[in-house]
Amino acid sequence: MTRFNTRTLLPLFVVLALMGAACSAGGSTGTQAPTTAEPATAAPTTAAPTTAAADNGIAIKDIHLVYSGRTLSNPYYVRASAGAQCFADSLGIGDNYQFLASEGDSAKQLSQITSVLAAYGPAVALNVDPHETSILPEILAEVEKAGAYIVTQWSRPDNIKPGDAEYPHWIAHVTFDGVDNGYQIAKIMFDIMGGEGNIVAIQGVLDNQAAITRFQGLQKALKEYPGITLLSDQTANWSATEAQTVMETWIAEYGDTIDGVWAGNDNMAIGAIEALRTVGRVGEVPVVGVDAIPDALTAIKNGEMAATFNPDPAYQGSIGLAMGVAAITGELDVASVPLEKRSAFHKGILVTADNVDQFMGDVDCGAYTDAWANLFGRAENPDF
Amino acid sequence: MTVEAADAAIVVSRRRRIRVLAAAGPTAALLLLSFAFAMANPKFLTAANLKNLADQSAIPLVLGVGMTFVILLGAIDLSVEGNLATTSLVVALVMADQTNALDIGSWGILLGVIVGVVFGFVNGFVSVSGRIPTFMVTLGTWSIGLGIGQILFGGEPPRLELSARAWGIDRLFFGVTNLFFVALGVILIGWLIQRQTKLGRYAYAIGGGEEMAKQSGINVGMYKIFLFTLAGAAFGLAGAMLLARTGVGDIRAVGGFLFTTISGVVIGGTLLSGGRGGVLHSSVGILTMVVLRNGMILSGVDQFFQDAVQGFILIAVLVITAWPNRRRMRFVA
Repeated sequence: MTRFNTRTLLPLFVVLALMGAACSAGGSTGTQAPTTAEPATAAPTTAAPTTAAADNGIAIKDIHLVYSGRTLSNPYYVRASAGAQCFADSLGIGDNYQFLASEGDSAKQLSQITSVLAAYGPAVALNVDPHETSILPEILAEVEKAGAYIVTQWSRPDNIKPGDAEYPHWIAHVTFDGVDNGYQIAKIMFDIMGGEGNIVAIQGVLDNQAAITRFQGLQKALKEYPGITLLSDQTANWSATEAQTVMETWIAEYGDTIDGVWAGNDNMAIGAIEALRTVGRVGEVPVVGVDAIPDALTAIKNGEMAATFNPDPAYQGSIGLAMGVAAITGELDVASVPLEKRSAFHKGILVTADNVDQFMGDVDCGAYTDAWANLFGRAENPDF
Repeated sequence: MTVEAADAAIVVSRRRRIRVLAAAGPTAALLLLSFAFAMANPKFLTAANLKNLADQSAIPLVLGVGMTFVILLGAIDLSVEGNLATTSLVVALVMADQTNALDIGSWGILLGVIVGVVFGFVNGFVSVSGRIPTFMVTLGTWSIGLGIGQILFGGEPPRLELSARAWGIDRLFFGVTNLFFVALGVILIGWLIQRQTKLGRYAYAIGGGEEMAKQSGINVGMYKIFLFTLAGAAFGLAGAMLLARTGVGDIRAVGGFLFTTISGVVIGGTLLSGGRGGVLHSSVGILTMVVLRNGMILSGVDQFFQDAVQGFILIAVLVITAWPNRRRMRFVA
C-alpha cells in the first residue's frame, strides 16, 4: 500500500518541484509579472454615476462586473482588463470585477460565464469577447435566463444583433471597422512612400473576419493609389515568428524593391521588422500594423514602425461594463437606444510618432470618464 | 561456403540495402523537392534564399536533435513548446531587456539550457519512476511550461536589447546567422553522442526492444532519464536561440514548433517505434520541412492551398521514405 502511494504521488511531487524551480528561476529575476494586469489603484474618489439603488432593487455594491476575453498573456487583453478594472474602481467596487480567460476555448468560455451567472444572477454586467461567433447564441440564452446584461465585442453572428426581440438584455455590440482600419494604415504608409513603390502584405488567419476586412481595406487604398504595386500577400497566422520567416523569404525574392510592409496586426509587423533588421533596412521601409500592442508602440517611438491602429482596448474593456451597470441600475433604458448605436463600429485612433506617447505606459483611468458618462459617444457607424 | 553462411550473407546484404535505402529515401525526397522549387522559381537557389533556409532551419534542427534521442527510445516528448516558452521567457528576463534591471549577460543562455534540463529530467524521471507513458507526462509538462511562461510574461513581453541578441544574429561566416553554426555544432555533438557513447548505443538498444535491453543488463530507467534530460537541454538551448532570433520573450512565438519537429524527425526516417534512424536522418527531415514552407511561398502556391499542399507533400515524402521500411512498419502497426 505504501509502495503504491509513493508511486502515484512521486510524479506529482516532481511536477510541483519543477514548477517551484522554474518559478524561482524567473521569479528571482525581478519579474514584473502580474503587476501590469492590476492597474495602479485608481482613485475611488470618482463619484459613481448612479448612487441610487436600482429600480429592480440591485445596489451598485452588489453588482458583479465580468470581462470575458481570451488570455492575459496577450497585451491587448491585459490592457482591456486594466480599463475594466479602472471602471470598477471608479464605482468603488474594484473587488467585484473579474476577468475570465477563455484560453481560446469556446466551451470553457460558456461554462465560465454560466458559473458566474449561477452565482450572481441578474446582478451581473457582462462584457464578452466571444472566442467564436458560434458560441454567442448560447451565451446570450444563458444571460436572458439569468436576467443579467451583456455587451459583446468584435464578432457576432450575422443573423442576430442587439435589439432582436429574443435578446432584450443584449445591450450593445462594440466593434471596429476592419476595412477602415486596414485602409487607414495603408493610406498613411502610401503617403509616407510618396504614393509610389512596391509593398508586400502579411495577412492574419485567412478565414478570420478581422483578417479579411483589414485586407479589404488595403485593397480599397490600393485602388486609390495607382502608383503602388502589391508584390505579394501571404498569411502568417497572426504570428511574429511566421511573419519573420515570410518576410525573409520576400527579401530574398524582391530584395531592395520592397518599399513598404502592410501587416494585418502588430505582432506580424514586429516579425517583419526583425527580418528587415537583419538586412539593415529597418526604419528605412515603413511598416504598419493594427492593435497598438506595447511592442508596436515602442517600435513607432524608435522610428522602426510607421503607424498602427489603436482600437483602444481599455475603452473596450470598460465601456461594456459601464453600459451594463447603467442598464442594471435602470439609468439606461436599453430599448430606447437607437439600433444603429447598439450594433456599431466605434471610433479608434491612428497612432503615429506624433501621438504615440499618450498610449504608452499604464492605462490612464481618468481618460475614460467621459466615455463612461456618454455611453454611445464613440459609436460612429452602424455595423449591419 | 555452407548454405547457412550464404543465407546469412544474403540476409546481411539485404539488411544493408534496406538501411542504405532508408537513409537515401529522405535525402532523395529533399533533393527532389528542392529541384521542383528551383524549377518553379529560380530565386529559390540564390545565395540570399539559401541563407534564409540556413537561418530558418537553425532552431528546428536543434529541436530535431533533441527529439531524435527521445524517439529513438520509442518514446515521445510533446513538451517542446512548453519548454521553449519557459526557457525563452526566463532567458529574456535575466538578460538585458526593458522590463527589469537584471542582466547576467551570456550566462542567460546557460540558464536557458539548465531550465531545459530540468524539464527533460522531470519528463524522464516521472515517466520512468511512475511508469507513466511519456506521451502523458510530456503532455502535462507541455502545459506546465506554457503556464510558467504565461506567469513570467506578465502582460508585457520582455524585449531584448540588440546587444543581448548579437551572439545569435550576428553573421560571422558566409553571411549566415551564428544560430545556424550553433545548430551545426549541436548536430555534431548529437552525432558523436549517438555514435561514440554508451548513451547513444543504448538508446538504439532500448528502442529496439526494451525487455531485451533490460535482460542484457542495461539500466534502462537511468538511460531513459539521461536521454530525456539530453533532449531537454537541446530544447532549452533552442529556447535561447528563439529569443535571439525574434528578440521578444513571447509565449505566442512558440506555436508550430512541435509539429515541425516531430514531422521532420519522422520524415527523416527516425521511426516512431524506436531503435532506427538518428541525428543525421532527422536533420534531413527537418530541412525538408523548412524547405517546404519557404519553397511554397517562393513558388507562389496560393496561400489558401498551402496547408493542404503541405499535408499532401508530407504524406508523399512519408510514402517515399517509408517504402524501404514498410515490412517493419507493418510489423509495428
